[in-house]
Amino acid sequence: MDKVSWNLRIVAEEKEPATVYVRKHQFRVGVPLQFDPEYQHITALEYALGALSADVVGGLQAVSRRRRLKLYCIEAVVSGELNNPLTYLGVVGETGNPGLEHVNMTVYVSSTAKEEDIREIWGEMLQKSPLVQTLKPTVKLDFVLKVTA
Amino acid sequence: MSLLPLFPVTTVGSWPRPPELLRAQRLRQKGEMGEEEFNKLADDAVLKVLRLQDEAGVDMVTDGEQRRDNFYSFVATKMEGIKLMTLAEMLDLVEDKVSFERILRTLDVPSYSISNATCIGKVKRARPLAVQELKFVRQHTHKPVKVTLPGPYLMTRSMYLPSVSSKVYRTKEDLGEDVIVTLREEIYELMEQGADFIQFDEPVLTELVFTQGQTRTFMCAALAARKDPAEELEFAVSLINRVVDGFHRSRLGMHICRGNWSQDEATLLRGSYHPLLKYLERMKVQQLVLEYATERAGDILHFEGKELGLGVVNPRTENIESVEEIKQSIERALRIYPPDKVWLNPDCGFSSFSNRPVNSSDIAFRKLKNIVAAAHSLRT
Ligand SMILES: [Zn+2]
Repeated sequence: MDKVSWNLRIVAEEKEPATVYVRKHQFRVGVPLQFDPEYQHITALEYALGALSADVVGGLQAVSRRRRLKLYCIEAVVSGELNNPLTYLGVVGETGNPGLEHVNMTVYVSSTAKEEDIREIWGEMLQKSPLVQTLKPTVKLDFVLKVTA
Repeated sequence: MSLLPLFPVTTVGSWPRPPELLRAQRLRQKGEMGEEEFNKLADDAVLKVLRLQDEAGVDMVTDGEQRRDNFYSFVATKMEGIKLMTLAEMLDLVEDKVSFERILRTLDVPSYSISNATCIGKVKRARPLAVQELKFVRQHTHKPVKVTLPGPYLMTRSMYLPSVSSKVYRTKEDLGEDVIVTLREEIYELMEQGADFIQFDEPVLTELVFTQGQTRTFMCAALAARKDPAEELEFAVSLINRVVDGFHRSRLGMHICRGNWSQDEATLLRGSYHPLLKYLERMKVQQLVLEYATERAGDILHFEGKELGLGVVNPRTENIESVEEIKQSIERALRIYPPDKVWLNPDCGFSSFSNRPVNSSDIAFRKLKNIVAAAHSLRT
């Protein structure tokens, strides 16, 4: 198969959040990261964590459909930690890097199927997830699957 | 109704459901299991709960709320104008999103697992709420029966989600009018069918007085923006008094606690009933079913003209309170109440939410048994 690439265009006017153009869609992204809970836009870091989690959730849906196993609902709760966010702010004397160091994710799956079957799907999804596989070598990923009724 | 002994022992309502019934509830909600099949499983579960209460020596039984998904939202399928919405469906609509997220994280539950009965249309009682439950229990026990219902304030408050409900009811108070009608129809029928005790659950009243400026811990209360607590409590008093007006055949009670969703006592509300006293005394119910087995509830108070349903065991702990400890609790109450005004019960149900039991059936049984033993030894 020829190499396929995914193409996006990102435009930022002075002081405005960036707009990402992708195929027929577009969305806006604020600053890389923010400490203010009232900040008006979604940050790049939040998008990254959202993308990783949506990859997991969407991956579970896809694999379960293929295996004809019914999952009523999937929900992920995520939190990410940087190695040292202060280096992003340029605080003098801070060492380390502002990269993602640790992502905690709890994925709840509602299903009346057997738990072992769901765990098998979970394993397959992790193997096939583009973003999980990208981050795995450098970021500590603590993922927990919880099956509920 | 058979005559009750001194210190009648009863429960606050719910009992842990067996796993097959939980699965059936899920299938039923998804429309993948018919009513008949579900009822068969639920009947078996209720019979087992009745047997356990009988064995423990309880004086007044409940059906353990086995058919309900939780203590208040089960009414959704029995009322017009109410839709059972999962929090997942409602996240967009809630006003206080930050509180919501905090509660969900503390609970360690997905938003899809918690449902709320939400007002989306003109509210009306389409089917009886609990009458069929009562009829079934009546057929299988000779003991007096207690029926639990969500109280009118809890119903009104939790059902009113401004962004969807205001199209039908301009205010929560307007919705309250139809909640009153619904509950009055239900009480009338429950009394006709010989309910010995009707208990209204109003846990959210404590939220009004204990959480000013703090984290909110009742999911159903976090839906709408907060109002002045005194005003809300007055509203609660007027609702309950209009609901029960003129009904005398069964004993009426009200259960108020500080939440029953976590085994971690530190996450539950704390504070004496004192700020609620003047409101509770004005509510026209005979009995207040209160939690007193946890030090979070403070000292036992005297409520003028009321019977006390004294909480003597904590439904959320694995530790089984000894007969001696329970007797001491009863003796404390007897310094304030005459013996014929004291009933005994756990602090709350053992599984207010079907998918979140706070104890096993076995521990629940052993706790009840010790309450019965304590009652026996004080009767002689
Ligand atoms: Zn309670």
